[in-house]
Amino acid sequence: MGHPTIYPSGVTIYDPEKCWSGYTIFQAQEVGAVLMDMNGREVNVWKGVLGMPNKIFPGGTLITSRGRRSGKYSVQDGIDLVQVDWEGNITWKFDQVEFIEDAGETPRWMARYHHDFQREGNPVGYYAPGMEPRVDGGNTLVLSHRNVRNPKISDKQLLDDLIVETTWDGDIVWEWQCSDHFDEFGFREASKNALCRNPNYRPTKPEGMGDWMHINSMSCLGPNKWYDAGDERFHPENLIVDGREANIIFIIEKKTGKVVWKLGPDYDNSPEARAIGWIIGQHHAHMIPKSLPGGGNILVFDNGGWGGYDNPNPGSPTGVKAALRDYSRVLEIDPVSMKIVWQYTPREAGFLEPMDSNRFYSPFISGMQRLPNGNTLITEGSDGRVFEVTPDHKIVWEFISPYWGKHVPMNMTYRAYRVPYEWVPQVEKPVETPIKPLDVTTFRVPGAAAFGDRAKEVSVEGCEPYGGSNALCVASVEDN
Amino acid sequence: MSITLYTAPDCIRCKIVKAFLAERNIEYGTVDFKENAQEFNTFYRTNRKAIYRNPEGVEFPLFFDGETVKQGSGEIIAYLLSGHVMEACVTRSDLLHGQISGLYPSRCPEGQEENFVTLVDRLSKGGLHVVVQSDGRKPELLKTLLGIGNVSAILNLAGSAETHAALYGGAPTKEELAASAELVSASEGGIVRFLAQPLPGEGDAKRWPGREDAAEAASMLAEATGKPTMPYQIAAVTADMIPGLQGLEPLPESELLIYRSASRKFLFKADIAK
Repeated sequence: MGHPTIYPSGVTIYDPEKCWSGYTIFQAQEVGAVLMDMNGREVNVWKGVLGMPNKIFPGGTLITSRGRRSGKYSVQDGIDLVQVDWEGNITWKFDQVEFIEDAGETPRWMARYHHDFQREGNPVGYYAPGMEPRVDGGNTLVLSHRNVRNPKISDKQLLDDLIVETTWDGDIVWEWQCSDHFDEFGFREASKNALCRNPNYRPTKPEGMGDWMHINSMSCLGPNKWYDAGDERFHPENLIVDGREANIIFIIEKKTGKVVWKLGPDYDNSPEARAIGWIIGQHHAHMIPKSLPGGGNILVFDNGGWGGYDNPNPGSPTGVKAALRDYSRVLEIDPVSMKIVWQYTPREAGFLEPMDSNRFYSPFISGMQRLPNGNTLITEGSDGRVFEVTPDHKIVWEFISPYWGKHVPMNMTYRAYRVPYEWVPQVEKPVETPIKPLDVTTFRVPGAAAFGDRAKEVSVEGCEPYGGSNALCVASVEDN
Repeated sequence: MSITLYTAPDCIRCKIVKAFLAERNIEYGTVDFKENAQEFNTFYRTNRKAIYRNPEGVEFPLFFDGETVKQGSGEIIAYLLSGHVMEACVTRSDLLHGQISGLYPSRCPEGQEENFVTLVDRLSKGGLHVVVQSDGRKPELLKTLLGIGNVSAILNLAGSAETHAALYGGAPTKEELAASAELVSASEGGIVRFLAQPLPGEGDAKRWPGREDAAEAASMLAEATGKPTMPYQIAAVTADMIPGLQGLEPLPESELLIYRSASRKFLFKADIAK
C-alpha cells in the first residue's frame, strides 16, 4: 500500500470490550523479540534474537533463534532454535541438522531453521484452550533447509525445504524432504518448464541455488472434526504447509510422507478452485485448532504480490512469479467443501475495489491467528501492521511497529501472536486503557492548519453533483 | 573327482571360472542350463537346498565336484584355491550383473592373503567390478586389493569393538581402523559406513542395533581417525542381503534417523545412504 510520509506508530486502536486481550509477541526489526500489552507497553524485550517467528509459550517462555547464517551462502538459514526463559537464559537448544563449513566462517552446527516450528502439545503454536505446548520436554517439528540436486525439477542446485522432528534431547526421529514429492504437487507442463529453467534462483556462493518451493509455514492439524468423522486425510498428526513460490497449500500424511490434500498450484482447474480464486505467494496456512471458533477450517494469508510458475505473460516474461495481484486476502476455507466460509479482504475493510484495494496489502511475510472469542489477529507484515478484527470485520485493535531497521529499511514484522495473560505469570495483568480511533480528517501535527480552516470559499454556478465510482479511470467491482 | 560346471549362455561369471580352471589346467565338464535343461533340472532338484536364488533367479555358474556344490564365481574360485578355508571371507554376492561382492578381506584366515588377492585379481581381470567389504582389520591386504584396479571398498562398522568381535570374529586395533578408513575414504567409490545388521542378542536371539551401538561405532572411528568431518554413511542390511534377516522384522526407516543422530555426535557429516 502507499504510505503517507508521516503516520502514527504503536497502538492506534483498542476496544477492550470487543478484544480478546492479552500480550502480543512480535519481532522488532533489528532489535529483538518484543512482548507488549494491549496498549503497547513492552513488558519484556529479548534483545538480539531473530525469531521467524517468535512464539511465547506458558511460563513467559520464548521460542526464537539467535541469528542467521551469512546470506552469502544461503537464504534465511536460522543458526538455531532456542527456548529462552523470562530472564534470557537458554533452557533448550536445537541446531544439529547440518554441520556447516562456509568459507571464511567458523565451522558449526546449524539448524538451518526458517519460517516455522511446532512444539508437542499444541498443533499450531498459538493459544487454544486445552492445547498447551510443552516447555519441559516433548518433540519439536522444525522447518529447515537442505541443498539438493534433483534433475527431475531443475539442473540448478536447489534450496530444498526439509521438515525434521527432534526429540527434547536433539535426536531427529522423523524427516520429510520436499523435492522427494515433486510428482505429487500436480504441476502442469508450463509450470514445470518455467520451474526447470529458473527454480527461483538465488545467487549464493559458492554456487547459486533455487529456492524453488519456499515453504513458509508448517503446523500439525491436531484433533479435528474431519478426522473424527472418518476422513483419514486429516489425521491429527498430519502436517499442513504452504509453498509461496508455487502458490500451493498441502497436507502431508505423517505416516507415509505423501501429499493427501492440496489447494493449488493452479486455481483454474476446478469450480471450487475458481470460486476461491488465485491464492498467490501465501503465508501461514494452518488448520484452526479444534477448541477455537472455526476449528477445522484452514486459515491462510493470501498475500497477492507475485508467485507461482506458469506460462510467460506480460507481468512475468519468464513464467516465474507468474501470478500477480496488488492486494491481500485473509481466507478461512472449509477443506472438505473447498469453500470460503469467512474472509477479510479489501472489500470487508471497506476499500473501494480495485482502486483502493492495495490499502490492505502485504506482498510477503504475514499471518493470522484465530482468537478464542472468534476475532482474528492479522499480521499485515510488510508494513508492520498488526490488527484484530471481529467476525463482522470491525477493527478493534491495531498496532503499527515503530521499529524500522537500518539494514532492512522497513518496519516489517514477520508474524505476531497473542497469548493469554496467564501465560506470562511474571507480570501483573496490566490496566487496559481504551484507545478510540483518531478522526484523521481533523487530526493535525503541530503547525498544520486545522481541518476546515479556510480563509475563503465560493460556490461556482452550474456545477454538477459529485458522482459515484464509475467516473474513475478503472471500472470498480460495483460496475460489474 | 570329476568337476561339472553348470552355466548359462553369455554369462561373464561363468567365463571367469572357466578361465581360472583353464589357467590351473583343471579338467571339467560343462552343462548349459538351456541346452541341457533336463540334466540341469535333475542336478537342481537333487541339490536344491544348496542352491540360492537372487532376485533374478539362480545365479550361475554352479559347481559340483561330486561332494561339494558351490555357486557364483567368487565362491567357486575360492574353493578351487583353498578348499573350504576361505568360506568365512568369501560368500554369496548380493550384487548382480557387472559387479560382485561377498568378499571380506578382514576375515581372511592367516596365510590365505595371497589366495584372496588372486581371487580378486581374477574377478577384476575377468571384467567384474569388485566390491570388497572391510571391518577395519588387515589394512595391508585391503591396500593390495585396491591396487588391483576395478576394485572398490566399503568399511563397515557395526558397533563397539566388542560387538565387532562378536559379529566378525575380531575387531581392528585403533591403528588398523585408521589405516583402513584412510584407504577406503581415498579410494574411488569408497564408502565408510555404519551398517545396521542383526547383532547377537539374548541367547540365540538376534537384535537390531540400538542407538548406543551407532554411537560407539562412530566414536571409535572418530577417535581412530581424528577426522570428525569425514564422510560417513548410515545403512542397514535388507532381506536381499541377508535372507530372512535372521528372524528379525525389517528395520523401520526411522531407526536410521536415530543411528544418524547418534553418529553425528562424533562424525558430523554422517548421513543416511541414498
